[in-house]
Amino acid sequence: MEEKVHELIQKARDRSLEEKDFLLEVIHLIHEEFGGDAPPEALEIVAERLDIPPSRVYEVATFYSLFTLKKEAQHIIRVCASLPCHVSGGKEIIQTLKEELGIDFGEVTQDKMFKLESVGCLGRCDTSPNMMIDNALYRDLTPEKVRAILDAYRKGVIE
Amino acid sequence: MKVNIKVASDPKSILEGSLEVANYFKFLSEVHHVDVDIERDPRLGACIGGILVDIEGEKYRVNGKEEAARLFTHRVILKKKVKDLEVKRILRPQRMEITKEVLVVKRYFGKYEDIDGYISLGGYEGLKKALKMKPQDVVNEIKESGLRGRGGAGFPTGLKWEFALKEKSNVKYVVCNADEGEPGTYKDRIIIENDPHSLVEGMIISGYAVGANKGYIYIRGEYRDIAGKLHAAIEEAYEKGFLGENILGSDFSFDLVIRFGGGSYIAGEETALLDSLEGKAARARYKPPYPTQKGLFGKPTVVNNVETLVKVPWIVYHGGKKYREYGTESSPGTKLFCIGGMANKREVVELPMGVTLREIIYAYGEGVYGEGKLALIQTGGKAGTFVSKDKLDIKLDFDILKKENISLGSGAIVVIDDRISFLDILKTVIEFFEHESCGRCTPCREGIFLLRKQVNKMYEKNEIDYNVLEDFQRIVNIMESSSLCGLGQSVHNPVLSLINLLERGEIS
Repeated sequence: MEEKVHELIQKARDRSLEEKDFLLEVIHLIHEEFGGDAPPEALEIVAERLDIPPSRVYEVATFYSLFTLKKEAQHIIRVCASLPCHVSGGKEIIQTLKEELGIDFGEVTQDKMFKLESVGCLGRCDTSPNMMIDNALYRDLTPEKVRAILDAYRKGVIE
Repeated sequence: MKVNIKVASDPKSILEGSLEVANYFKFLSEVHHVDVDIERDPRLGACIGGILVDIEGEKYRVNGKEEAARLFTHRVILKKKVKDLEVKRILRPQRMEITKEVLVVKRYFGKYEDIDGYISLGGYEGLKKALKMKPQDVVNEIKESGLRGRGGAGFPTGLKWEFALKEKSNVKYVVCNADEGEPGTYKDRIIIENDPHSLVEGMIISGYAVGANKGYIYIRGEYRDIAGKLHAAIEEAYEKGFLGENILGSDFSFDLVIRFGGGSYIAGEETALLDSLEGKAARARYKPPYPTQKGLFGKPTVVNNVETLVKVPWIVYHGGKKYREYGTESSPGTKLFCIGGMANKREVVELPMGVTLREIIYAYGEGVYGEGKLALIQTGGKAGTFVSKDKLDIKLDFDILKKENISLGSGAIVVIDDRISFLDILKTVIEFFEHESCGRCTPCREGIFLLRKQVNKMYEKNEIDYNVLEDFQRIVNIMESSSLCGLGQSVHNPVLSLINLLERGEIS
């Protein structure tokens, strides 16, 4: 792991202008490399290598909503809970998700397949209501569409 | 057999909601599986007391969606005449005009593929011109244009640049705030997707004007997938010598990189954004010092919104005076408006300042989708204000809006129909702030906690408690006067305006 993290640090450093401007970029790259989370061991290597207190790296990795230390579910669903989506059918979308998955925000399904989170705004208000599953965006949602999408993930049609 | 329906679509009819009627007929035809052909006819004429509609040669007037539904059911589905809606006298439409789009930001949208395409359209001419001017003259040109920040605060851009230019420092930065996260706002994403080079060019010019050699474009993490074009644009600009050492043979050098946020609304606040760039949690800083004095890594820094920067090449090339020809005296130029919510047509439109909400909602947004009727409009994002129908004809101009206590903010226009309740909106608004408050200062952290607790109680009981709402007014006022940053300070905007509309009976 150490070698890989060093590699990612170097990659982020190449895209930097200052010595201290790329911590978030490293954490992004770690997420992409390790399949969706930033393991604490990797963050420790980052702290040591960049000479940043581990507490600071930990704070950053836990402050931002796109970062996570441990992947709790195979897929993370981020559904917009904000007003533009809410008024155009988002309320029903959230209801459908909670019912279909049998969980509330911040929870993980029993089979560890999905985690459900609410987000402020995805910036796609021209096609609301919207949600993201991992990095894929789903727009113009209806309860039927949501059910079909979840089904596709469950059946492995979408990975 | 297809039924032919014509709906009057002269400007006056449009502003009275004729496109909404046309869209509603389409909606009804889909619900009832009826085959209709709906034509928008600007020369159909007008009538008194409603919108003129022609169904297979018969003329009707429609006032509101109930009448439209009745006409549709009886005339189109049951094929019966609707006597009381029949029109005998057709009038000539009144002559008037609807504010047209002015394409400053959108001028190159969809018109080029790569940097050669951009250059052939006149791209990087603004930069060439700027490099022949003194930095102070570039700043003067921006001041002359009257350009005000398009991120939400509306601060005069030229003035901000001048502050930074006057700071003596061997290192300065320019930062583009592309952390678009204000609910209802999606214009910056549309710009980055459609014209990345204008943003790059705007960044280089701003760097030259204030004496900065390094620039960052800070994009929200949720947009990581759309940044490919911008990455490519930056690379192309390096290859062509618009970025890097001695740009176009001048002694000005400039480097530019993209940085991604990690998913945080408050990172859109400029000082929190700078903390995030420095590799910290995004929390707002105390001001002063302002970023132009001590910004990124303690150096003078100019932070501008995407829309603001994209206008810079145009203004430098055409001159500040030309920009002033659009818009109003106190709010010159154009503004991107993001139409969202329950509007029939949701898109980004670029209109001169001074345009009315009615024009945006009924001419460009084409009215309210489906069976609902317009109840409220939220302007300026979640931290913006709720506005009732009686303000539809106010000119959107910073000074007028200030008098009316309406926030234009980032340009979000969220159309809200009458099927949603006061408590539902209030709860959604407060939940948003709870989600995004960073927790650094007490008034915001504790204030939102109190609001949340109380609104949940009311929501569960489905009962509005006016004593609690009085408390709400007190809490948000304290938050406004004592919170550290714009987030806590602006909670009063939506909360007070919504309570005000409740008291006036505009929503229940």
